[in-house]
Amino acid sequence: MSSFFFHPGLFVAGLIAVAVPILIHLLNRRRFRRVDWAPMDFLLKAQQINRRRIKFEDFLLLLLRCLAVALIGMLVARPFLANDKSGALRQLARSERVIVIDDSASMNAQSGGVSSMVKAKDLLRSWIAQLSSEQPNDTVTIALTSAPDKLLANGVPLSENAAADLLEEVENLSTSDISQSMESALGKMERLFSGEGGSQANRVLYVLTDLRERDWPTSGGGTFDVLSRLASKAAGCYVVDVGSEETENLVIESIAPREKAFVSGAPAEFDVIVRNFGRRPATGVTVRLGTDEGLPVERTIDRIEPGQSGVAGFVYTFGAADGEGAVEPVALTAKLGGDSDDFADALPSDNERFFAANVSEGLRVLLVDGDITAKAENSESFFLRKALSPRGALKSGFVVTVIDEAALATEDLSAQDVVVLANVFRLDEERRSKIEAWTRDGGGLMVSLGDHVDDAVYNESLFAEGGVGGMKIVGVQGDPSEEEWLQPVITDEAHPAFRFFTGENRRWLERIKFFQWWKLEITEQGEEEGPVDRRVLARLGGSEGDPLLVDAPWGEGRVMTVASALDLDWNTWAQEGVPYVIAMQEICRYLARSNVLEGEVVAGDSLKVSFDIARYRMDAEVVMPGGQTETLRAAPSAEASRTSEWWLDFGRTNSRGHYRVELTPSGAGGAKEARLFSVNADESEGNLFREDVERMDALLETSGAKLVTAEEKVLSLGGMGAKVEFWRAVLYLLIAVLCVEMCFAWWIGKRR
Amino acid sequence: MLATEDAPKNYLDPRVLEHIKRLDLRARRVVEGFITGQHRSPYNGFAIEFAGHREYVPGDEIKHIDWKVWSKTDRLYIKEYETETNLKATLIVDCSKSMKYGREGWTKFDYASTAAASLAHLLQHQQDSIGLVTFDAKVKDVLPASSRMIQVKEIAHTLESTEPDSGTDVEKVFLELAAQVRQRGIVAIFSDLLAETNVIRNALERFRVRGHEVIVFHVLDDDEIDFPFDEHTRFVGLEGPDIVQTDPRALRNAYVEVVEEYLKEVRKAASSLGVDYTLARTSEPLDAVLSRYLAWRNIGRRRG
Repeated sequence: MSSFFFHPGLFVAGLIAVAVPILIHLLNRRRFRRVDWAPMDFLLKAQQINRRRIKFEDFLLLLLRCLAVALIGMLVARPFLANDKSGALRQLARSERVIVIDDSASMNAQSGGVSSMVKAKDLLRSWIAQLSSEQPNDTVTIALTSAPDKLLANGVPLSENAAADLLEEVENLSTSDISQSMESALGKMERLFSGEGGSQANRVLYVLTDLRERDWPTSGGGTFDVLSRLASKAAGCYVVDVGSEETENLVIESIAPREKAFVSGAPAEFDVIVRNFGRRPATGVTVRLGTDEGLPVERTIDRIEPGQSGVAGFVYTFGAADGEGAVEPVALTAKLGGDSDDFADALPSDNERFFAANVSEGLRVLLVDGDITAKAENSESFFLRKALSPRGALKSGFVVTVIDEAALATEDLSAQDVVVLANVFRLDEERRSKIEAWTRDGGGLMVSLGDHVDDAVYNESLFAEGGVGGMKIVGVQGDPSEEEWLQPVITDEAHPAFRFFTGENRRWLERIKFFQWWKLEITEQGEEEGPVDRRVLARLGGSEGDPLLVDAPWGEGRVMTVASALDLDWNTWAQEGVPYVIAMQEICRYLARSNVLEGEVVAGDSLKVSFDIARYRMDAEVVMPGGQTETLRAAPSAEASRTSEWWLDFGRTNSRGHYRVELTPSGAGGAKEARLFSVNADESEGNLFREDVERMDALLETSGAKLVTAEEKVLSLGGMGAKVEFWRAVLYLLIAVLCVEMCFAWWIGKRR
Repeated sequence: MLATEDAPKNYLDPRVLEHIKRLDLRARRVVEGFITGQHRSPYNGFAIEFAGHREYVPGDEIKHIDWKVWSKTDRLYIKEYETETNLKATLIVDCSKSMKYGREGWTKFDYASTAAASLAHLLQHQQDSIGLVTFDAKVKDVLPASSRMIQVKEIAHTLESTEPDSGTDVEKVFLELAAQVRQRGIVAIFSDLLAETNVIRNALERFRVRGHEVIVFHVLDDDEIDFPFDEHTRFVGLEGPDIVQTDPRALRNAYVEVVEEYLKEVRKAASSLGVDYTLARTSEPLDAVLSRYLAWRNIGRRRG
């Protein structure tokens, strides 16, 4: 029965409902009044005259009512006939064309000077013209894969005016940089297909696409599954290939800074990674990196093998901050190719990549000093502070703040990149949870264990299960009289913090004398949850000695534990100068959470800026790549009752480029502070590889779709076995039956 | 005057009368209302006929016996004076079960007995003598005609104490009655006449051949004539075992046709026999029926 009805169940329900008038009739017979009647003879006579006629009329009325109910059931079940069976009903056939246009960046790929998008637009125009002249009753629905929710046309019948409007819309179509997926776009279409609203029997789906591997992964699943579900609901399903075999394409895949922070006045290293998505090796690829102002720096990558990527290294020195105020962010742009580049690049739009360098004055290090004394050089943090920000013209890239244990409770950690607990006596619960939350969120913590440390408290809080874990302070080792000492041995030369202490340079570190230290016992608990990424950088006295430097993860962040003091009390490290400065700076750099990629946004995603509402006004300005500005209002965060943190959220990152969000300080006269974002298209769009047509054809065939070229005629529905609905005829019949029923009932009532 | 015009109407509404339980009182109300509403004198009608002597029947007053005739013939004869009763009227009331029909407690029998009592009251005013016979399948109660003042009360009492309870056999009963009511006079029949029309015709004929003047008050309920039911109904025969369950709307037209045919037949029979026939619907005020009848009778009399 499902070959005649869209909802056979409803039809069966209608047939069952036919029993209702019969039941009503029978029930009516059971309910009666009783009258004691005198002139029975008259009644009997009257009945004799009428009986047969009444019975016949009642039967006819019942038949009409049953028929009406059955027709209602049929109507809601939406009957159809296959086109070849319908013949006379053919004029009732109307179809809906659902056209999905792939407007991903890869549709820009050119072949013979014509891009896939242009081909798709030409095809669409000719279709609209043809439909509006030949089948103006048909409706058209057009969707773009970048915005499947926002239909370009939704069930529009192609009258002359509508066609003209639609043509204009098509004219304005262009590819979108927004990251998108064919699978999810078709998934949205599926919702449209199953929705009650515009359900039509003759729905034909057309997908205009360039069939790139990215959207049509031949490994199976995804897109093909969705398409086969759609095809089963549609009268026809066509995938129209508007792409080309051209696949030669170079893409700037990423701009990867080596630094963890961009410091004003300090040089920063960048790796610009270029990938060759083509099938031929690319030679002499020139890469330029620079700002809009000033000359770009140019580098050349000699050769990139197909499928591989090449790296061009750049050093860029940010301008020094001029006095007060915030440091201006720098908008960097990397571009591919020079004039002499003969590489046939199919997709020019991905030869450019933007990078937002939010420059700061340096990494912020918070030194919590457990041994502050009136005499500065006796304080625990004295040497460390000197090491991180030495005097002189050259910038070290650190901004150091020293506080005592008490101040830790009120200090705002969110602005800090590294926190150092230097010889702190103990952490109470409040401070410990504050540190823990910050570290777990990605912060870098350095803990130095000196003579003030209460080992029992440390073992129960910081190193306990749920804390850093896997470590225990056992006791103080060494010789307080400083007559004996141990020297460290580097046990993890590959650790990034020790990149300067390799080879010959090891001895710089290995000649330091340690008189006293805390013995750290590394327990192997927590191993069941997989190996812990814990690294012992150095041990004392030999490769089996007590651990001196231990780097362990804690949530998202990392904790570097130094088993001895950072001043001169227990060792000679600070005395040595160079190894101390380098080690401390490198460890802090290693621990600092990186914020250099915070400005990276994929097109279509939203820009998010959090700020303290006490410091800035709630209205901010967004400067978009074209130069237009837009005012944006911030909203309080979910935890607004506890913090003064507010959020700006900007979603219209539709085109690539630099976006600048300008915050205005709430105080009078303050200069605007800018945060810079770079919006790039999804670099995987640059992969123009596609499966060959035969294999694609076979794959689509199994999904119930048909692969056609742009030249093939696919608008005629003749051979498709389209379904012709005749619910309209049923409706008319129903109305007629109801009218006859009413007239008949009225007539009978009147005549009796 | 206006007030008096209204007042009798109230008295004569069947629904108002229904509340008056004592029949004699009810009848007086009807007659009073009737007389107040009547412009012509009702005395024109009945008392002009001559009677002469008639045989004594038990119940006659002894003082009216004509002793002279007795001395000559040794028989008892009543000497009837012109100024006294010169009309004998027999009221025949149907108390068969079918008369029990009626809505809201006002049955055809109630109507018939009220009409009979009213007529009795009216005739009493003219010093006519009145008798009463009730019947169902057989003759039930017989009150011999008398012009005593108490007669109306006795008639009323008899009717009040009668409960319609059994079937009808008009032909047999009327034969019996025709034999009983020997003296010529008025015979007023109050019945729903639910029988074959030729049976009714035969019955009426028996009275006519004996020289009685026959008045028929054909008492029928509105329901029986108009058949206004519209729910699905089960009709249970009052006098027979028949049960008809039907949708009354489907039968109405046919039923009304049948009834009309029947009424036409009855009327035809009545007029061919020279019987005064009045159709009395129980919804009609009694005085209207009485006055219609009397007016009709006056016309007939003047013509005669």
